[in-house]
Amino acid sequence: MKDLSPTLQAKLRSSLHWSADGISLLVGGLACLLFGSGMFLSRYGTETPLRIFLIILCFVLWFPISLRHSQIVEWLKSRITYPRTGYVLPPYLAENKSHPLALAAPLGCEDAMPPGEWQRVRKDRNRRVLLMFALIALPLSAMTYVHNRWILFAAGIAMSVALWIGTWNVQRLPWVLLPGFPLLGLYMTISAPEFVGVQRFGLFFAGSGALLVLQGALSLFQFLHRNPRPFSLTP
Amino acid sequence: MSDNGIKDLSSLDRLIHEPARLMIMTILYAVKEADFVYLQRECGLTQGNLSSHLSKLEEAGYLLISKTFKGKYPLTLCSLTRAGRQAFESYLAKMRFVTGQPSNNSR
Repeated sequence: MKDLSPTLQAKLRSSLHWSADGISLLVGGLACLLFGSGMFLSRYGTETPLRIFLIILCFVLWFPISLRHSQIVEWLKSRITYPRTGYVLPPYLAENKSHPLALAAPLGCEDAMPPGEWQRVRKDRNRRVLLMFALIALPLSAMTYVHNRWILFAAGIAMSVALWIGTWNVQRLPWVLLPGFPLLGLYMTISAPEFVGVQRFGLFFAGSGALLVLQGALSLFQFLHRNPRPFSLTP
Repeated sequence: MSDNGIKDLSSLDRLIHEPARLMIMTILYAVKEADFVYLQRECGLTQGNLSSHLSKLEEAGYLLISKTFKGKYPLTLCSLTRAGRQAFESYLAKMRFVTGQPSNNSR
C-alpha cells in the first residue's frame, strides 16, 4: 500500500477500518449459514411441521440480513465497537448502502490520484473480483451437478485460493478461513458423501457460513481486546 | 496557470497547505464522512490540535461538522463541503503543476 497516493491509501484504509472489527464478516456469515441451512433442510428427510418451521425461519431471517447487511453492521458497530477506533463510512457504502458488488463500485476519488494510478488500481481490482467470482461460483455450481464427492474438497481449495487472492496485500489474511474451507470440503468428502445436488450445496454453504461467523467472532474478540474504549470522547 | 508559472505558487491555498490540515483534507476527500476519533487516530494529532484545525477549515467553509449520537456515545462527524472538495482538487492541480506531474485532465 506504500506505493499508492495518500488519497488512495486513505480510501483503502477506510474500507479496511470498516471490516477490521469482524462484524461485517460475522453478519455475512450468519446470512450464509441461514441460507445454506434453509437449502439443506428443504431437501433433507421427511416433511414434519418442525422442519417446515425451521426452513421458513431460516429464509425469513436470511432475507432481511442479506438485504440490510450494511445497516445491521452499522447498528452493531454503534453498540459494540464504537467509539474505540472511531467511525468512518467508506465511499461505496455512503453512495449505495446495499451495493451487492461493492468491490466493483467506483472509487470516488479518482481526481486526486496521480494519472494512471486509478486505471492500475481499477484493473487490478476488477481482475481480482472476476477471479474470485470464478473461483467461488464455478465449484459451488459444479458441486450441485457433479456427483464425484471430491468436488467438495476441490471447492474448498478453490474458495481458499479466492479468499487469498481477495485479501493478499490488501488486508490481514483470515487465518480461520484459509485452512477452514479445504478442511470443510475434506470433511464433507469423507463423512457426508451421500448428499448430492442442492443438499450438498446447502450443507457446504452452511458450513462456509459457520466458518465466516467463527472468523468474524475471532476478529471481533481480537479487536475488542486490542482497542479499549477511550476515556474521553468529545473534542 | 499563468505564463510565469513560479507566480502561481503564491496562489496556493495556505489553509490547505499546512501539513496537518492537508492530512485532514486528504482523508475527508477520500471518504464521505469520518468522525473525530477516526481522524485523530489517522492523523496522529492531539485532541486540541485537531479541534483547532477542524475549526479553521469549518470557518473557511471547507468542512461540515455535525454533532450527533451513535448509540449512547457522542459522534462528531466531519465531511467536506462542495467548496472544500473543489479547493482540494484545485490545490492538487497546482501542486502537480509545481512538481511537473501531468494533470489528470490529460488522461
